[in-house]
Amino acid sequence: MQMDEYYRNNAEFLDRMRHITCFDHVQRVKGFVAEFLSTPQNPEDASSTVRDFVEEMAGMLSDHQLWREDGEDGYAQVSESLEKFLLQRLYNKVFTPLDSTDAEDDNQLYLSTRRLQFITPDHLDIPSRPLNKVAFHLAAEELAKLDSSKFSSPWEKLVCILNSISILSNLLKHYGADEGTGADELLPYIIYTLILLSPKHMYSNLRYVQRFRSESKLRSEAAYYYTQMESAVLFISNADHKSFTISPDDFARGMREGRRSL
Amino acid sequence: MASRGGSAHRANGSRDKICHFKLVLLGESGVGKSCLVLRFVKGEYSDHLEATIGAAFLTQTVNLDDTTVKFEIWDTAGQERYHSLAPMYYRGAQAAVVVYDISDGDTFVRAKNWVKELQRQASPSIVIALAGNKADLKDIRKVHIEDAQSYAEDNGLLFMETSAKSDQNVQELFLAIANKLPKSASGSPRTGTLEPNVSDRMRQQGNGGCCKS
Repeated sequence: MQMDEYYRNNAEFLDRMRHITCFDHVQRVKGFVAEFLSTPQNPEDASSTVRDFVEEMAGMLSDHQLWREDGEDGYAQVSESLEKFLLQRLYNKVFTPLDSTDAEDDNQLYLSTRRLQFITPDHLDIPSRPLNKVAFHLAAEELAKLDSSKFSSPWEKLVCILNSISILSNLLKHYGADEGTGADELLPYIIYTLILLSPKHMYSNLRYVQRFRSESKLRSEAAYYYTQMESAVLFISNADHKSFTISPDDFARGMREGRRSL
Repeated sequence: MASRGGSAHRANGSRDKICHFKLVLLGESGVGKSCLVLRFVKGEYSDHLEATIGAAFLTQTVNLDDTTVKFEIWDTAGQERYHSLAPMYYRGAQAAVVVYDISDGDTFVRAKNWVKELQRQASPSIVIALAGNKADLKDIRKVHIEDAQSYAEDNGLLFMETSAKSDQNVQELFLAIANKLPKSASGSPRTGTLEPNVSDRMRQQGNGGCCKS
């Protein structure tokens, strides 16, 4: 689905919800938001509560006269728009929830990437290519959008991740169409982009997508590239000198300097 | 007979079942995992891929007599330093292709380790295929076909020597996997999904759901 289509569907959804025959549905949605915000919930319960409500409400709305003729597509679009509508309102409560380790994990990853600033593409066996630098910066820029307030729905966050990886993948396609470019080549690029960016809320973003992007909608290619990002994050979290092509001494020296600069 | 890249529906109607399967690719870096899949998907040794973000994730359908199998192929980074990340990729996979290079004995050792790990940690019903790739390099072969064959038999694996370069046994390998996969209870049902598409192109996901008629 394209971005503009996503926003068009959203506008259409909000428009229809203003129709007089949707009054009761709107009240239910408002009631849900109010109750959710006033009830303490652990992250797992919060995720299933929201998902269940989206599913139930999307089912009701797609039976409603305004949506009835849209068929299967209608249901998918309604649930997409509902997901966005609800999570925009619940965002502050469910993003980096208090009773989770998200904030701590975010900080640990941030510190790890800061300490690893001495790592160069060579240390990840990334071949030196003229366009590497540009691609890394563009990919990091895309990934940084995860923290933009403009992109607060799980779908929009997922798109930020996929767009970032897409830039790296296009670079590899440009250079390696002959031998085929697979995960062997792509993963180191993603890892280096993460180190370059030093994101502050990466775990929060990944878990937010995982918790609130319903399973039926996080699959196939999107699920694959989400996993790529998730595994790159895990790699950095657990990194030691054996993770890179570097001598233990050089690694230790780099880490010492990295710590000092923090 | 397998046919490539076709639609899920036959000309004579739409009675076919469509089964979605997640297939993970494992094997040392450089054994030609991505070439093998490129060959399977595009039918050519090298070509540009338009539909997806890159060659790390690809899909391909195989038509069997009464079902259409759609493979979602997950490539993994084969370097040793990424080994511990592999479970994130093979989690939930219904099939795995473990690739080694017949001209490099170390890659066969690595492949056997992958098989062991899959048997221990992946889904118990996973269909595992062992592919001895670069079969065109038989003049400098290091891994005897008999050794690999008997290892595969002992471990209940599908086995073929393949060559992405000379298109040997590539379609056959995936067809054999498709035939061996259970067609009744895989994956989860699908609704029309709206997946974000990176390249801002609309790609329609199959609506039929796994194994729905």
